[in-house]
Amino acid sequence: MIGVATGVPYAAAAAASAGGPYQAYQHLYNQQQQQQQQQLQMFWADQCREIEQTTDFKNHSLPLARIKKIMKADEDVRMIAAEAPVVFARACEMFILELTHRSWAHAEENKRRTLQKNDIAAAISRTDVFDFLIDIVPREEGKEDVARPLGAPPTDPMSYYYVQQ
Amino acid sequence: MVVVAVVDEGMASLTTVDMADNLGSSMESDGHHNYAGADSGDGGVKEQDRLLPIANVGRIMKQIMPQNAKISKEAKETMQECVSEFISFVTGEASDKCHKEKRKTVNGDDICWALNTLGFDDYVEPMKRYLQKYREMEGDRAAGGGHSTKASSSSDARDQPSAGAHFMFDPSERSKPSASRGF
Repeated sequence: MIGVATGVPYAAAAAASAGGPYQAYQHLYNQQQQQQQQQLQMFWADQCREIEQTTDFKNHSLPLARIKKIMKADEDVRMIAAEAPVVFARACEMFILELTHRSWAHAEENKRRTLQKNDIAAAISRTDVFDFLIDIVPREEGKEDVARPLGAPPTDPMSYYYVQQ
Repeated sequence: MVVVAVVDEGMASLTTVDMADNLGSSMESDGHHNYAGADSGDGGVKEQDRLLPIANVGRIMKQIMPQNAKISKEAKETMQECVSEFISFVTGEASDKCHKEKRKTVNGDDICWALNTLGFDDYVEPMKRYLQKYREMEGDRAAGGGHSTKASSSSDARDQPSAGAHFMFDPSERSKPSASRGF
C-alpha cells in the first residue's frame, strides 16, 4: 500500500520546532520525504525480486511491435536486436511504475484519490532523472497544491525560512 | 528521408530500415518510397503508432496504486507521452553508442548501458539481470530446437538455430549487406 503515513506526529513536530510554523512544515516535509524514500527503496527491491522470478519472456505488458516502431522513429536507428524491445518492455513497465508511484505521492499530499496530470508534472519536476520529460508537462504555477505548505516545497525547503516582520 | 519501416508481426520479409542504403535500386520500382508514413498524406507516423496503448499503460499504472484510487484520462495520456519519450531518449543514446562503435544493431546491452549513462541507476542492475535471464532462456530454446516466437519477429533464430543466436549478425558485427533480414 502506497501512501504517506497519515499518522504524522504533529504534536511532536510542533514541539520540535522552536521557531514558527515553517520549521514544523519542514519537519513534516522531511518525514514525508523519508517515508517516500523508504517506499521507493521497497519498490526497487520488489522489482528486483520480480525479475528474479520471471520465467515468461513471451507475454509482455506492452506490445513489442509498437515499441519497435517508436524506436525506429529515430532515423539513426538501423537494426534492432530481438532482445531490445523485450528489454524495453520491462524497462518501460518499470518506468511507468516508478513515475506513477512518485506521482501518487503528490496526489496523496493533496488528499486526492484521483491521479491527475499535475501529479505527474510534480513528480517530474522533483526527480532529476526525469528532466527529459519537462517539456511534456509544462508546469502551471499556482494551479493546484492547496496543501503546499504541508506538501513538498517546490525546490528548497529552506525557502520557508524567512522571518515575517 | 524518413526511414520508418512497417513491422508486420509474423511476416518474415520486411521492408527493412537498412534498405535505405539501396534507395534508388530496383527494390521499389514503382518509384515511390514504400516506407510507412514517410510520404503519405498524413505527413508522418500516425499518432497512435508513436504511443503505447492507453489500456496497457493504464493497467500498469493501476498496479502500483491503491485499490480505490482512480486515474484521470489526462494522466494516462500524459503517461503515454512520457513512456514514448523515455523510449526515444534511451534509444537515442544507445544508437549513438552503436554508431561510435561502428555497429549497426542496437542490442540489449546497449540499452542497459544507455540507462546507466542517462542516470537511471536503479534500472541498470534489474534490467541487466532481466536481459541475462532472457538470453539464457532463448539459448535454451534455440538449443532445444525450438523456433522463435512471434514476439521476436526480427530475430533470425529460424535461420540460425545455434544456441545464443540472439543477434541479427554474429556478435563480431561484420557487415553482411546481403544478410539484412532485420526490420
